[in-house]
Amino acid sequence: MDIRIRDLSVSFVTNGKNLAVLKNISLGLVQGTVTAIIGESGSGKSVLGAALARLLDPQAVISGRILYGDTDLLLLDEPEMSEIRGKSISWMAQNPVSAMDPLQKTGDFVTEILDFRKAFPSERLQEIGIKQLRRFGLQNAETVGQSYPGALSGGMAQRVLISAMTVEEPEWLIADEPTKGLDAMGRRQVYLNLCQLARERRMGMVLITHDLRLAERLSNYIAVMYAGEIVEYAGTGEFFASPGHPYSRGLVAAQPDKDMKPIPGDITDLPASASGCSFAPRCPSFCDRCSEKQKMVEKDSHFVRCWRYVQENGDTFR
Amino acid sequence: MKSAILFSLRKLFLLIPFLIGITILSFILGIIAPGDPAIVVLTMDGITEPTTAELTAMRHAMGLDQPYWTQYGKWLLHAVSGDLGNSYVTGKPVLGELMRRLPVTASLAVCAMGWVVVFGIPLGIWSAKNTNRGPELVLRIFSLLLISVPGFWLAIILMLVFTEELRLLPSSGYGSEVQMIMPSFVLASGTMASVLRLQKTTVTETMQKPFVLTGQAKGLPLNHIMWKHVFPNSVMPVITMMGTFFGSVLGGSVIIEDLFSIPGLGSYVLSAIWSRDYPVIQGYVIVSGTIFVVFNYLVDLSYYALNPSVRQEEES
Repeated sequence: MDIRIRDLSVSFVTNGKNLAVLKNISLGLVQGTVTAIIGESGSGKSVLGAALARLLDPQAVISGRILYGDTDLLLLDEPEMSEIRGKSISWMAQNPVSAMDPLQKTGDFVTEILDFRKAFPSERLQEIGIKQLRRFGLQNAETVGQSYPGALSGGMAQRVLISAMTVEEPEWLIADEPTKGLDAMGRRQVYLNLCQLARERRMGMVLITHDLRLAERLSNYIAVMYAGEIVEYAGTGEFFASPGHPYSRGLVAAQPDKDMKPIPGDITDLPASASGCSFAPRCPSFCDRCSEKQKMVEKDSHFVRCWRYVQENGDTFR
Repeated sequence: MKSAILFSLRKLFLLIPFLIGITILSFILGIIAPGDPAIVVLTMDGITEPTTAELTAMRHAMGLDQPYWTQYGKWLLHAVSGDLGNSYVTGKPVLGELMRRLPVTASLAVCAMGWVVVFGIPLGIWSAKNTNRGPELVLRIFSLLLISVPGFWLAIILMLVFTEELRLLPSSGYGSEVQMIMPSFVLASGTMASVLRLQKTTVTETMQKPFVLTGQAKGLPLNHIMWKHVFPNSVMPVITMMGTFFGSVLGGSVIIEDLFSIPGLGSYVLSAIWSRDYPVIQGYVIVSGTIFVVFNYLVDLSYYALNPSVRQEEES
């Protein structure tokens, strides 16, 4: 089933101040496709991922809707949500080693939820765990299954985590920075694992990443986030061929294999005005209208939230 | 399994210096103690007035004219074979007297441990889950009081309330379960409150760990995660604290046993101190020191059993 996010806002209250992390996000996620969410640290992409699995801190103030089919996930209680997590929507944490209990063997970590739900007789669990680990390229799965997280390398730990979070064959996998901190070999292995899930099993994915190359190769759609808003959404090919938002252009140009040109400034240079474009203070093509509220415009399924983009493309917008 | 045996043997080997240290301290206590043991032995009946010749002969017979290290060697040899000398007061072997009273103190310590385990740990977990709510704040103040209040004061207050006023619990004696309630509670109070606070802190810290969120993402309910993951990870520092506590109960029980008239090691050594019965004090130092060291050894072994990173370090 598709996931449709409607006007999702999340804020945290710290020291009496209200800090808006996500601002009126609307995004459609199509079943069986991969949507990459890119943007720099602090843009809110991890919060968006955690919100999809309802794993935000209880202190977070959430409004809007997250429709999974016809069910609004934000209206479910914890037991109902537990039935959806892992089975239908799985979420994969950023740092695989700390995502595991240091006192639990990785084999048990992988099959724990099957054991809890009594999905299989317990004597079969070990075999299922080993099979699942082997599926993700861990050759000595028997040994790995008997070891503790502390003994795993980063790449191995990431594969164990993928094994564990997909053991119930969920329809959706939300992967938060799956290649963070890995070397080239590890990144390639994770890419192959995720590819296998997306291509062979048609698992829908939300890929939250800094890694634009991974996003380009794995995803069908790209959503660019900046300061809690989605500023651009397009098919992956279209996006990389002609990024529309000045921020997206900056991101693409900042890649090592492109110009490696950094975007000046910092995401913390947020303007005090809540009305205008939040990227305006750093924008190379800033214009007068940028201090007004800009809305998402669409041209051939390419959505951009930018006045300059409207000007460049004339009056072709709906 | 092989590495488990190696680990326990290696740790056991490391105890030897500590045990030697305890015996040296205990021996030094005998040396610096005022009074001449030869005189003490010869005047034990209270009538005899020993002559100088008798004294010299006795000193020679007791080996007191030899160098200290020879004396220590002989003394240690005796101690290891179970001979800790005789009490000046009763003339009976010290070891037998100590062993007769050890079960009393041990059962007091076990009861105190019961309070710690039954109340300290669960209330600590409960506090972590209900932090900053009304009842938790009350419990926090109460536990702070238990830590700050001296044991003898608490003992007197409890006797006033439960023995004098309510007439529920006996204030002295040993032999029945009811007689253990008050002394073991007083003995446990400070540690119980410290364990409660430590357990609360470690649970709160462990609940912030990313593996809790991952457990939820798998579809596990929070209660299951609390039991299977948060609790085992949070209890290890608490076990260390309790191991140290169980050993030091022997020292802490001296005043409690005296207050509640419990015929354990503590009250025995206290009376030995009054009557300067040095062999008994020496024996007590050895026995309680050894128990303390053994309990720390057991804590080390429990680490091996509970913590895979300790195991893996050992295997590599």
